[in-house]
Amino acid sequence: MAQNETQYNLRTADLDNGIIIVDDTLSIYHFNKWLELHTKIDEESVLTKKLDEIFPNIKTKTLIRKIKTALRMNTPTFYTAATSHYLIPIKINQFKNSIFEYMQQDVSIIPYDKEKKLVALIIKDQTNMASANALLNSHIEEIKKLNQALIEEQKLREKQHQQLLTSSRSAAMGDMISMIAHQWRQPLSLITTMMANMKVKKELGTLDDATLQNSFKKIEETIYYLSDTINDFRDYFKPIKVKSNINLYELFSKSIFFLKDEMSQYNINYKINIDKNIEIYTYKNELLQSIINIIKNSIDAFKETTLTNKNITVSLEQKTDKIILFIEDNAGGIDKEHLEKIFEPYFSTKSKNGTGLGLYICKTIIEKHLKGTIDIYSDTNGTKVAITLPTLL
Amino acid sequence: MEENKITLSEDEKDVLQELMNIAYGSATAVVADMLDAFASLSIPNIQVLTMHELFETFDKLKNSSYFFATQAFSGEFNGESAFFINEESAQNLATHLEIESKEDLDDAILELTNVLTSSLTTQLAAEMGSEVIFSLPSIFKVPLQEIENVETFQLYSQVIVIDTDLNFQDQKIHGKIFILTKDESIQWLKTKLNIILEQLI
Repeated sequence: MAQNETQYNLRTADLDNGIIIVDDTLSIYHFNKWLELHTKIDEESVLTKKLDEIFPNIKTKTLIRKIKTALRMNTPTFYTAATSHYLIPIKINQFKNSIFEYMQQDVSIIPYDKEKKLVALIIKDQTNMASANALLNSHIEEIKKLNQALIEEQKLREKQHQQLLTSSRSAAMGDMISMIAHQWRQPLSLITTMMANMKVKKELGTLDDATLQNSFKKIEETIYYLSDTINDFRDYFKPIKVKSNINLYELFSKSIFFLKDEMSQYNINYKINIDKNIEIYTYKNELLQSIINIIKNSIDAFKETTLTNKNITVSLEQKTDKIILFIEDNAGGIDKEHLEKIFEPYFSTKSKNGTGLGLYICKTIIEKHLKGTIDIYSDTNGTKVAITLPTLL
Repeated sequence: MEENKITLSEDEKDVLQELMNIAYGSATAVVADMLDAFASLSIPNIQVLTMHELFETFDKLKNSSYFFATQAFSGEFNGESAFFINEESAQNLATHLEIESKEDLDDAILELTNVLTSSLTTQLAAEMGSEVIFSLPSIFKVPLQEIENVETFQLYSQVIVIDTDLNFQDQKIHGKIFILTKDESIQWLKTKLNIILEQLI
């Protein structure tokens, strides 16, 4: 035995691993220097004693099973730090490893002497590795959580954006209906008047054929006008995604005819300073929707002023491959604090009927669909909106 | 499939099958000893698969969340084993071994992985006049839909799959072990199998 011990010591004293040689009943045959230092237990005091007596935390049944299996197979069996943490309790006194109270160990159970049923328990300190793993895992968890939160946020944002677009469509539809109503009021009253006239004349017996023909003709013309108005509106608001050549003078003079009534109602002068031949190639309805929105904002601004000289001026600057459209009013401008938020969704300065979506949608359309930019300048005199667009989209 | 896919001839497969029969016989005895219960291992099924085909095989096991352990083995014959056991079997194993904590159960599954891998591959390598050494097994609980993300599997292009079902009838414990070897090991195995074949003639 003594001779064996010396042999073991020579072999294991300098190793940076714990080595215990035990038999399949857990009787200790060798306890190396490394273990003496770490456990502060002398080899002599443990020899021939049972390992589970010295370390009562050891699960006897499991260890014996592993030892017997190793001997039976003649290949090693293991404990891993990742699942079993440690076999021999060794307190850690280092601050940097404070995540664990005890040294984390990988243990290999290697057949040593098959006849004597001896195995060597090789104990490796894996505390650093286990700490790094624990740290990594907590970071991975954190990253997973953050990533999930990000995905959720993205989904929410997309949903909100969709909701905004839907709201803006409803708002545009509402605008369209009120514009149609506005546009129809006069012709409808014309029809009513003519019919009332005919009725009176019929009752008085003064309705002659010429009057009847003339009235029918006028009613018919007015109905055609009503029908045309509907078609125009439908054309401008239906979402056809086709690019075409657009004459900008025509766009500002004819296409926004449905805003003209409102402008004359509030005595607003509307001036177009654009060369009649300039064309760009882009999505007409999208551009029109944005322009109507901006001009309507100017009209709404005038409603809250008592100015006598009200002007909305449209002008254009040509660059090599782009144009800049300016829509300018003298309605008194926008407060500086409001100006910063003007393109944010749900931001409105209007006391009522403002959805706060108009300029947000304008910006979205101009930047995303028309590949342009929109800028807004304002002082106490008025507001100037600049829309830069590629001449060929 | 892949152009340079290595295939095993019928003769090579036969010899390997014979060698595996010996190996799984000894593995069965060791596992039965270890668990002190009557165990049976099915006759191993041997195939050369691309990783894509292997994942398809794993896919078929996708009926519940599996415990999944891997263990690397080195030497001339090297590779990795992958052991699958479902939750129910893992619970039955815990009951049989009177295990209470999750960590002890993980340890027991690792032990089972180690025993199966060691006994199957050691015996196989020994038959070919070679030796294998083993790394510590690691355990992952991987949902099978994420199995393609297991990093070590990315290192393989094709694998010899030796799969066998572990069965403890009374304890209702079933597991499936795959022995996966890399391309150069498949080539080595082919050479060795042919040496054995020549000796037989």
